Amino acid sequence: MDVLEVRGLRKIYESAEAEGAPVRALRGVDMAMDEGEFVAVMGPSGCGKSTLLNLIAGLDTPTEGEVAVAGELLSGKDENDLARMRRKHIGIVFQFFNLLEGMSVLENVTLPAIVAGAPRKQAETRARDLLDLLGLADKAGKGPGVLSGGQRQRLAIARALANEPTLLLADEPTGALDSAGGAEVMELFRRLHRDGQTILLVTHDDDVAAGADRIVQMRDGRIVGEHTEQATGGAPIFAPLEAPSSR
Amino acid sequence: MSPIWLRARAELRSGWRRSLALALLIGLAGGAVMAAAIGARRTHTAYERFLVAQRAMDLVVSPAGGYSELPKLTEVERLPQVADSARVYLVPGQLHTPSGREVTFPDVFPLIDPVGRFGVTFNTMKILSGRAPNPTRADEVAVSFGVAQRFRLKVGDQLRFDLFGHDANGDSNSTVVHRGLAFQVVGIEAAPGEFEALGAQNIAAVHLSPALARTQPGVAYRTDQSLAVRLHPGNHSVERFFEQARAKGIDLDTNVSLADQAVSVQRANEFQAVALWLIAGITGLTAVAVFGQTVARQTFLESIEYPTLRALGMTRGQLWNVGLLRSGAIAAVSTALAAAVAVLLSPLTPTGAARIAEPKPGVWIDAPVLAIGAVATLVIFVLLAAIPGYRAARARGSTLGTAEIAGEERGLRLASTASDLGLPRTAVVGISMATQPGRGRTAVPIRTALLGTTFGIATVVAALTFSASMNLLTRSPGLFGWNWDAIAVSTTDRPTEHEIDQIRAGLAADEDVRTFTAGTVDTLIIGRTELFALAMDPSPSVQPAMIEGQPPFGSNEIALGTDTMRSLGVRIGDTIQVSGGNDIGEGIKGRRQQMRVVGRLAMPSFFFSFTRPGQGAAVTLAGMKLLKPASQGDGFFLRFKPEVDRRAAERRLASQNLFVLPRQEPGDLASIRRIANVPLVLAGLLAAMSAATLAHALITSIRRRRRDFALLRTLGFVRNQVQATVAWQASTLALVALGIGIPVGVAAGRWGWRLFTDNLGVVPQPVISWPVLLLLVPGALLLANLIAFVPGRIAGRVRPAVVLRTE
Repeated sequence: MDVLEVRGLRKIYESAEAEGAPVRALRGVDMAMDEGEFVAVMGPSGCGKSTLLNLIAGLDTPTEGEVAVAGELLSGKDENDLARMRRKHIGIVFQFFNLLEGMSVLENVTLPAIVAGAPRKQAETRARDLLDLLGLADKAGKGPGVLSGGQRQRLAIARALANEPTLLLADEPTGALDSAGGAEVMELFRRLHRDGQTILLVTHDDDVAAGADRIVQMRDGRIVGEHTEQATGGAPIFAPLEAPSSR
Repeated sequence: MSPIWLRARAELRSGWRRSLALALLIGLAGGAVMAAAIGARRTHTAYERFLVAQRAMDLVVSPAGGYSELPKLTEVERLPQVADSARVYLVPGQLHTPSGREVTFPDVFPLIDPVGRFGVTFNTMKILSGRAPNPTRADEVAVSFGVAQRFRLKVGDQLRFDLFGHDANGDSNSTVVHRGLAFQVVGIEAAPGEFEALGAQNIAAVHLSPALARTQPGVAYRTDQSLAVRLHPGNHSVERFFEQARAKGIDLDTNVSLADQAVSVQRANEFQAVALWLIAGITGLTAVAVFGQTVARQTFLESIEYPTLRALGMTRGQLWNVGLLRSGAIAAVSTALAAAVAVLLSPLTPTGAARIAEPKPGVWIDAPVLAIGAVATLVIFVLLAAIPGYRAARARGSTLGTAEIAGEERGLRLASTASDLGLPRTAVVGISMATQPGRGRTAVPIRTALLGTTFGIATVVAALTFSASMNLLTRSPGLFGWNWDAIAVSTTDRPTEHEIDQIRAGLAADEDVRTFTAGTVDTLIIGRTELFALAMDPSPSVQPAMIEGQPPFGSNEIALGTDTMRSLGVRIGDTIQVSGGNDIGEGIKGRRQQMRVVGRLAMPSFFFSFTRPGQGAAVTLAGMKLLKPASQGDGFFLRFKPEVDRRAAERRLASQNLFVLPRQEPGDLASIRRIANVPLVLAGLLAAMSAATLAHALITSIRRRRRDFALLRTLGFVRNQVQATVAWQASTLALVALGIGIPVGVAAGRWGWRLFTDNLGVVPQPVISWPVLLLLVPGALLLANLIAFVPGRIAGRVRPAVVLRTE
C-alpha cells in the first residue's frame, strides 16, 4: 500500500513586493512511497525539497496537485483536519531540532501523544520507552538546553516517533550537526527503517542520502531522476523521468 | 491533561520572570486605577456617611418672636416630626487668639449646651486631633477645623474670652461683663454644619464645656438660645415639621439648614470625585496603551515555537487557547495584585474636606469597585493578548521553524528622507530602526511603542493644558462671573432717586473707581424656576461675563447660565417667557415679558444666593424694571483702578453709607484649588509611563536587532557609532511622538477643559502654556537620550562573530 502519493504538485509563492515575480517552488512533482520505504530527496538549496516536505506534512497548501498520506487525500481538508492528520500519520524531524525549550526532555516527547489524545500516563510511558531506546533516559527531567547537538536531534526524533507515525519526515536532519553527530543520527534512521518505519528524508548531502533505499533527485522544483540501491547495486544511476511541462 | 494546559504551563514556567514582571506592572497600574475609583466613590459618599455617623441634626431653629416665645421651644421638642433635639446657646463675646486677633460672631460661634448633649451624643464631633473637652472642666474647648485653620489654632493653644452682657430685653450687647475667661484648646473637631460652603450657613464652632454653664451661670443668654433638631426621615420631612409647628401657633426662624449645607458641601466634594474618576480613566487608558505592546511582545515571544507545535499536530485554535490560558493566568495574578494595591492605597483617599468628613479613614475595601476592577483587568488583559495571540497562532514558520508574524514590513519613510538630506550614517540607520518594525524574530513593536509614547506625551500635554487653564481660572474672577471688583449698594432701604444719583455722582468722582454701571441683583421666574438674575445698565466697560453670545442690550433681551439653558432646553436666539413673580412685595405684582436669549453667561456666586453653578440670568436694568416695576438699580457694579488697594478702597466706600459686596469666589473654586496639583501629578505619572514605554521599546529593539548591530560592526561601525545609532533611534521615536502628541494633547486638553468648565458654568478659556510645551521638546529628547544610553552601550558591545554565528 502506498504510504505517500504525490501527484502533479505545484507550489507558487506570490511575491510580497507588488512588482516582484512569483517564485515557482514546485513545478509538478509526482512521487509515491510504499510502507517501510526509506526515501531521500536530494537536491541543491532552493530546489523545492523543503516545500515538498511542508506540503506532504500539510503545513502548507499546494497551488495545484494532490497529496495523499496513508490513503487520506490532504486537499479539501481544513487546518484542523490537517492537524489531526499529522497527529495520526506524520512525525517531523527538523534541521534545527525545533525543540520546545520551555519544556523538559520528557515533556517534549510526551506532548505529541497528549495532543493526539493519549492519556498522560500512557503518553509518558511511551515517551520514557523512546528516550530509553534513544539513549536519553537519564536526561528525561532536564531541559533540552543541556543536550549536545546529536542528543538534541535524537530527542527530536523521539518526539517525532511519539505517535508511531505512518510516515517520518526529516528535513536536513544532520544539517546542524558535526560529522559524528550526523553519523549517529543516520545510524538511528537506519535502525528505525530496519524496524519498519517509513521515512522520507530531505538532504543535500550525498553521504546522508546514501543511507536511503531510494534517492529522488530534485532540481528547480522538479524531480529530475531517482535511483534505488537494488537497481544500481550500490552505484547511483539516475533514471531520467518524463519531463513535466514547464508552467 | 490537555495539551493546551500542558503547553500553557510550560510557557508560564519557562517565562515566569517576564510573566511575573508583567503581572506586577499591570497589577500596579490596575491597582492605581482601582484606588482612584475607590477614592472617587469614597469622596462622593464621605459627607453623607459622615452625617449618618455623627447623628447629624437637620435644622437649628429659634422662635421668630424672640425672647418671649422661648418657652415654646419645649413644645417644638415634642412635635411628632422631631426624632431628637438639643438646646444650644450661642455665647456672646469676643475671643482673643494666641496670635492677637479679636474675633466675634459670626466669625466664631462660641456654643454651649448646659446639658452636654450637643456635639457629644447629638450632632457629635469627630475629633481630628486632641480630644473632646472634659465636661467637668470649664476651661476646655474644642474648635472646629475651619476655625482652627482660619485663626491658626492648634491643640494646646490658650484662648481668652470676654463675655458680653445683655440689655433689659435679654439681647446681648457689646458690654464686657467678664473679661479674660481662659480656655485651652484640647481638640480640633468636625461636626455636621461646620463645613464651609458658599450659599449656605456654616457654623464656625467653638464648643465650650457644659461645666462653664455651672461655673459662669451667665454665659447662656436666653435670647441666644436655639433648638437643634433631628427629624424623622422621609419626603417633605422639613415641611411637615414647620406645618406641625405652625399648627401649634409657633413661627420658627431657621438658623441652619443641614440639607442646604449638605448640597453645597457635596457639590464641592463632587469636583474632587470627578478629578479622581478622571485620574482613574486616564491612568487606565495609558496603562492599556503602554502594556498593550508589552503583552503583544510577550505573546509573540511565547509563540516562537508555535509552528513546531503545529507540526506536532496542535491546531490553530488550540494554540490560540494556549495564549489565552497563559494570559488568563498572568491576568489572574495581576488582578489579585491590583486588588491588593487598591486596598493598600485606599488610605490615601479621600482628600480635602471629604477626608475630614470620612467617618472611616484608613483601609477601605470597596467590594463593587474591586469586583468590577478585577473583572475589567482580567478581561482587558485577555483581550489585549487575544489579537496578537490569534496572529501568532496563524503565523507561518520560518526556515528555522520559528514563527514569522506577517504584516510588519511597512514603516515610515523618514530614513530615506534623512538619507536624502545628507544626515550622517548613524542618523540614517537610527531613524530607519526607529521607523521600520522589521519582520519575524527581529520584529520590534515600533508602532505600539510609538503609539504608547505618543499617547503618553499627548496626555502629559493635555494635563499641562488643563492645569494652565485651571490656574488661569483661579486667578481670573472674570471667568467665574465676577467681571467687576465689587458691588456697592445703598444702605438705605428703598433709597430715593435723588439718593441714588448722589451715590452715582460720588462714585464718578471717586479717585479709586475706574468705571461702574448701575444695576441690581434680583429674582426672576423662568418656566417654573425662580432664579437670581443680574440686572445691569448696558455698559461697554462693566458687563456680565459671557461664555458665548452677547450680553443683553435691549430691555427684551436676556442671557442665561449654562445649567439654566440646559434645563430649559433653550438656545441662543430662542424666545422665552420671563416673569417678575406674583408677589414681589409691597403689593406690587410682577409682569410677564417675552425675552430673546442673546447669550450664555457665567453667573457669579453671591453669599445670599444658593444656586448651582451655571444657574442664573442677566437682563438689562430696564428689562428688570419692566418685569419688576419696583426695582431700583441702587447697586453699582464697579471696577477700581489697577493700582488701587482693593480692600482699602472697599473699606473706604463702606464708610460712606454703602454696603460693599466684595468679589466672592464660588465655593467650587476652593475645591478646584485643592485639586490644582492633580493634573500635574497625573502629568508626572504619564511622563514616567511614556519613559517606561520608550525604554521598553529600545531594550526590545536592542535584543531583537543584535544581528543588525553585529552587521553594522562588520561594516565598519565603531562602538560610538552603534551607540549614536541607538541615540538617533530614541530621538526619532521621541520626535515623532512629540510631533503627534503635542497637537493632539493640546486639542484634548482644550476639549477636556471646556467639558470640565461646562459643568462649572464659568467662561471656558483654555490656555496653552507655550514655555512649558517648548521646554517639553528638549526635555523629552534629553530624557530619550538618557534612556538610550544603557541600551546603546549594550548594542555597542555586541560581538559580531558570536552573534552572527548563533543567528
